[in-house]
Amino acid sequence: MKFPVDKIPVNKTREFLWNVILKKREFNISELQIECPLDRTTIYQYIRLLEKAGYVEVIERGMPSKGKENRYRLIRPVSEPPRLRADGSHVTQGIGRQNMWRTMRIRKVFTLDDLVALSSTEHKVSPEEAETYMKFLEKAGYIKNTDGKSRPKAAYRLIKDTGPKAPMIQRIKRVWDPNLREVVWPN
Amino acid sequence: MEQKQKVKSGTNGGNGPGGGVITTIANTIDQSDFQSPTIAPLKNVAMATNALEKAIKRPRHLPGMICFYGPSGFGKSYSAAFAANKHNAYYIECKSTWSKKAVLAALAKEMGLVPARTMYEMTEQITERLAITDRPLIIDEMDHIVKREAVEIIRDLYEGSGCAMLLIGEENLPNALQKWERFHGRILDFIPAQAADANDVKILAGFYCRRVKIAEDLQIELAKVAKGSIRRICVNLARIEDEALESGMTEIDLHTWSHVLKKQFWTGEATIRKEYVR
Repeated sequence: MKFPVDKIPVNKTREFLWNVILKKREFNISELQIECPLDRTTIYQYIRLLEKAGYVEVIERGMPSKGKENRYRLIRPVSEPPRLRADGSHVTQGIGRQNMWRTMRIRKVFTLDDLVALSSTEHKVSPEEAETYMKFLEKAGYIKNTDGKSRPKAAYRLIKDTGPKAPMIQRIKRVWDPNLREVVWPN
Repeated sequence: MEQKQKVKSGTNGGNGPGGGVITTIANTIDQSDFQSPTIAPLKNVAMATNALEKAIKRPRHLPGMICFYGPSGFGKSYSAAFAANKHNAYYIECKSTWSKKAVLAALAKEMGLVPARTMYEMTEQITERLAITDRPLIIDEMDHIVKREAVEIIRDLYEGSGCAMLLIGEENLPNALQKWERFHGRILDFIPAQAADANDVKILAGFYCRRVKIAEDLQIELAKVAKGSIRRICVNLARIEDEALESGMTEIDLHTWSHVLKKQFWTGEATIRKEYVR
């Protein structure tokens, strides 16, 4: 899971696998593997988590001795692949940035305070988080200061809207754009 | 006089006993108010988010579209941005130049799909995604769709998916939709946007004027001059914070603002450009 995101091919992403599941509705691991070239164990682990979190259920128990696999059914279709922890709870990391990115795309012109106010739902976004995210987006050329003031009160404009997915800051301080699927800063 | 007002504003927020030590009461209230600040209780934000939630959770035999309308400047889009974050909604803002096909293409892109070539295919594509229904759809500047006679497209998407939708437009939107009789019947609620008031100013101050406490009289005055506009309130709150901090204050009231600092509110009305004043 800690594999850098820019090294993962499209058809090995969680999203790709989830889209296959959405399409099939009923499946076993082998059937998923045909369309999605991931390790069997990787797929199996994710399906187990989905089962634990109540997204899929087993409709037919397999018998490993006879080479018969479990058969699953999707019971809670959602638009985006659930991101789950080992205990089946939801990962909340990244929600703040996704909300900030959405806010920027909707507002077009915004201040740091706008981002904090509009992005803080049940999941709170702190001014510091907003500051960090804006700093990287500015470096990567997504947003631009329009009135020359310093950050907390400055009006920024979104000048590069690449799509609905929020640009990510990787551990090694690079900006990865999941819409373009490329590293946009430094380039 | 001034002090009395401060005490009043203090007691309605918390459980301060008597008005003995004004500053301490003010401080404790500040903290409890801002512990978990959210703009959710702003009038328009609350209406938009709650209506959308109602549409998402409706029993399937009820219609699932919400029409949120009102004059520009009342913070409809602002409220919609919060609602979009809260409900993880798909959001598009229509442009005056958009054809029917452009509406569909924009939607497909917003949903992370590669737009198909024909309108028919795109409709299929989008409907299939919307039918999962865990993510509602917000359409801002709906008036452009009405003008372009593209309303039927939205109806098709709704019919095909049952997805909850929030349609945002100008004051005249409910009337304009009336023309499409079959469309009108699919709307669960018509919600008129409201002018922002002093209470909204107070909530917004928690975000746009975090480091300075604004007295109630200044909040009321600001609400008055902002004429209901959330944007004007935010801009002025930011200015108040800046000016107050510059003068070394952490609290400010109306008298200080207009007579000691001699400042005026930004009202959005045109002023003479400074560089032309010689």
